[in-house]
Amino acid sequence: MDETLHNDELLIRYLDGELSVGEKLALEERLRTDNALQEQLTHLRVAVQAVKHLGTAEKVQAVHAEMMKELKSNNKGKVVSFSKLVRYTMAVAASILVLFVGVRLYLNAQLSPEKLYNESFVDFNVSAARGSNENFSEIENHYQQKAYEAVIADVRSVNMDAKDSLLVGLAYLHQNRTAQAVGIFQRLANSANNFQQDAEFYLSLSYLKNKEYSKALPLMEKIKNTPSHLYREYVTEKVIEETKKLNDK
Amino acid sequence: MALRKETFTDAELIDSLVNETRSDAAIRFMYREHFELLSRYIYNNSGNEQDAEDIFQEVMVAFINLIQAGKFRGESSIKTFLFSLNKNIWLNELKRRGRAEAREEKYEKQNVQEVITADIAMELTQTKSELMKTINELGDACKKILLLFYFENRSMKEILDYLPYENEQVVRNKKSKCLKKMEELVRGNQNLYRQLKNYLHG
Repeated sequence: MDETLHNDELLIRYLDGELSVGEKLALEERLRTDNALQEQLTHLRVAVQAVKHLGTAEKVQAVHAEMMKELKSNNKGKVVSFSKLVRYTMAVAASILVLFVGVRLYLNAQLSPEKLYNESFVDFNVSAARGSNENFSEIENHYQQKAYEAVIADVRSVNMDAKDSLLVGLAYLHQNRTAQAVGIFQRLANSANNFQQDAEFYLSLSYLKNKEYSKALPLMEKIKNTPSHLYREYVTEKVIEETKKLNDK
Repeated sequence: MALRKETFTDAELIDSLVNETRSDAAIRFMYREHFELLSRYIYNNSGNEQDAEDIFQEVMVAFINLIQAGKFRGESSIKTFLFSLNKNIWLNELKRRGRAEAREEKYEKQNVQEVITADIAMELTQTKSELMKTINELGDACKKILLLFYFENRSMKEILDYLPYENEQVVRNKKSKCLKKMEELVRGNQNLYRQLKNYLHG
């Protein structure tokens, strides 16, 4: 017991870099042959590791509070997601629409841009930068209500940020006005903003809908080959293969 | 106080995170650069605002620990690595909650990095609360003295400014006792011990 205690003291001083050169060499010599002593040292090192992990967790926690404040004020408010009810309702509505269109298209053709578009399209989840005590923008409200004409009309009356632009592009896409959608998504995809990846995905779908497969393909490949792309899981090998087939037709 | 907004390359970021005295600015930079993208992954996969914040904090802690243990070797960009870590930590959280969204087939591991981050996420899920539980048993005085010495690298003399001890020798004795207590507590928890041991040799 006394020896263990003595060894602990010695090992702690070793870890702390407090041994003289002679003491250090003697201890290292013992460590080479004494497995129990080695194990004792490992236990202490693991304990120091626990302290370091705790320190990191506390430091991140402190910076976190400060950064959330900064990021939320930069984003004009905190990020809130849609209520589950609205999200589920939208998901159900979207599913029914996709199913309906899907069945109709299946009867018409096995491989068509419409079919592929409908299989690949995922609507934008309007979970956005807004404070819980702030209202959604006009464009967001109209988009949520699927009032796409109103979204497009809003362009003339509001000062748009990147997300609003994206929603306007999507409204055009929903209205089958792909040329206008392409113009908006191109601008967003080619400039630095928080919705660049969304714009790339919807731009590829706009091209697909517009039967411009050779323009859709490089974007799809880019999304698929970017591990950190938000839409990577939606652009499957199958989608790319079928777009290639359409391109070769 | 206005904060200076530094920018970092991946190499500079790693260098700053290794050095605890410079890591604050690096952590802030990672929040500014990556929080938006990573939190949107959480929203797109059934999470809410609080989930996004909690998971991002876990991602930060895990990433810094990996950097300090020399276990991030830069095979991918930091952005890609964080995205993958965020995804896997969130999927484990969904599994823990028994949510159907965590269907594994949808999130097949596509490369080595996915496997690495999935493993890290799994370990975190298993032990994240255990470290805090252990620390609580240690007591505040011990926690403070150990953090000052081993995390902030304060000298015994400097620690005297923070804690009410008579002299350096008293601090030294107290610190040894606290470390031994910590060692016993951690050794008593096999999962925690094994995970921490993985971080020992960089």
